[in-house]
Amino acid sequence: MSLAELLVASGVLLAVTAVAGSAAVRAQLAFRAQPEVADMQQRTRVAASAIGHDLLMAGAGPLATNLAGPLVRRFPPVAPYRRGQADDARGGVFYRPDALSLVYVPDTRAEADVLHAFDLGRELLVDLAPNCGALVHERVCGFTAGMRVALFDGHGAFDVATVIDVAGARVRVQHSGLSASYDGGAVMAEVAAPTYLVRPDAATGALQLVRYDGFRTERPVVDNVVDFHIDYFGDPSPPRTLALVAAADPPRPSTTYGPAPLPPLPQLAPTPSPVPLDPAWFRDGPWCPDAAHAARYDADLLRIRRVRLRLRVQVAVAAMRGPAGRLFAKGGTSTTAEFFAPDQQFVLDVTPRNLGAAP
Amino acid sequence: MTARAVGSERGIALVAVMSATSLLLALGLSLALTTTVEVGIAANQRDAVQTLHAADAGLERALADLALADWDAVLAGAVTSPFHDGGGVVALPDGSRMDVQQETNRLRCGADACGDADMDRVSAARPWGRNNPRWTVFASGPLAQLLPDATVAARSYLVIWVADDPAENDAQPLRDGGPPALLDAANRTNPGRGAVWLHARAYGPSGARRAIEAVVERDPRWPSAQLRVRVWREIT
Repeated sequence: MSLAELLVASGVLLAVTAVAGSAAVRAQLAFRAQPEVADMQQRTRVAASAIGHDLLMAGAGPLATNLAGPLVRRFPPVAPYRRGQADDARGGVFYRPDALSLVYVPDTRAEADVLHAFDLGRELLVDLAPNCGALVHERVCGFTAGMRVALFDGHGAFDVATVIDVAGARVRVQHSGLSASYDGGAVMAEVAAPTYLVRPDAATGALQLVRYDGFRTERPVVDNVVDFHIDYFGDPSPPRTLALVAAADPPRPSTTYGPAPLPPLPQLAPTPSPVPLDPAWFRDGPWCPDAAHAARYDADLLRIRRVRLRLRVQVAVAAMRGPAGRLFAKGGTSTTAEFFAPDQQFVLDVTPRNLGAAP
Repeated sequence: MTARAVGSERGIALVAVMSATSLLLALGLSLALTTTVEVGIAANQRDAVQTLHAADAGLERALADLALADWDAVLAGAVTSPFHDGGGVVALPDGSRMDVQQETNRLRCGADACGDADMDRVSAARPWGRNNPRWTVFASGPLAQLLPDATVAARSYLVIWVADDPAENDAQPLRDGGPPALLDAANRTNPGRGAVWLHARAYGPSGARRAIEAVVERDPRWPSAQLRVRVWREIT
């Protein structure tokens, strides 16, 4: 081989190697980014599945009590703030753009009418009507210690408590303050009362979507959240009274939605389709049960029929995020497109079946 | 071994090619595994969501057919929806087969076969004794038959059962709203009159199963052909 041939061969080899190396580096960058993209998709799927189930169930009420039917006839099952033992409303916060609380009675046999209730400070002794069919009168079915239950009446009061003890038809529950006496005419039922809200992760400082169970536990749902926004759409018509049923007929609702007496809500639009609800309407009254009540809520919450929720997550590694813009809500350090893992976003638009009310 | 054989470069290309091929194969397999798992997960989620909505569609169809039916005849199994393929042993979208009667019995008493005493037995899931629901098939069939003109792939099989609702106090599970079995101060009327309970289940591809229960009622204050959904729940 001559020197010229060697030089030419070396040059060709170098050129081919350079091209192949460049392609390999780009491929390797993309290959490293893809698992992060897949991880983001997994996280958004988990979040969509969890929130979607709770949203679909929102407002489901008891099957067979005197106050059977959708919870929206008694109190608002959807609210834009945290509810539960740690309750925003007690601190005067009635709207947060980053919080969504839901209440529903899950698939349960633990539901019964309240015959009598005796308040013992932080505990309530509740005598329940038999709920095991017509022939079993000495006990109630379904309630167990540790169960979260809702107490509510037909006048707009509701509270969530925890069962401590069940003895025959008497159930002892623990609460953190009640908004009514519930002594007759009320209902107690097992309940799920989750709140989804965004807060900073204690370890990393990144925003995290958590599911607060209304009691003591905040469970992370998805990390590295960059946007969580909720829009509400509601019934434009105010609630109205329905004709009374005959005394011999089974109990039927007395209002199209909401508790009695009806809150004085205005007509928002001439059409029956849900209209966007301005967040300002959730904190300006009219209030239920009344403006001075410690556990009051804005009556406009009773209008909510549809919830649109937007969640956007980002990749945790800043080196996989490019400059802030359409692809990235928060900019990172990457300048190589092959190493980009753009933010992922989903929108859930849910009309919960149990929020449908008026005939 | 000769000096010529030691100095020979024959075969070096094969080694180089095999090395490069192995590297590329490993990369390709890894990428394929990642994408296959991702596609599988995404497909399962799609099937699960579609199956839930299929169950809801079945429920809606049953509501439309129930609105005009005699509910005592429905509860006794004498009247069914026009959307009913007769049940029996059916082929499901995931390739398995299902005995609808066996599924019905599992709902009725948790076993493959049920007698009256099994269905009336009080349990945690069925605490109403003689008012326990006696599920009967009201509608069944492939979703595609429900949507003959659908342009989307409708690959679910639907079964909708109906039973007397749990608020009943008449101890007559095949009759809607009979007189209370015990006439006392707490049972002057039958609160379950004019209400029935539905259980809609959809069987989708890849073994997806979703179920919805609803209690629906007739309210004389509503338009005559309209039922009101008292409670709607996804059963998990």
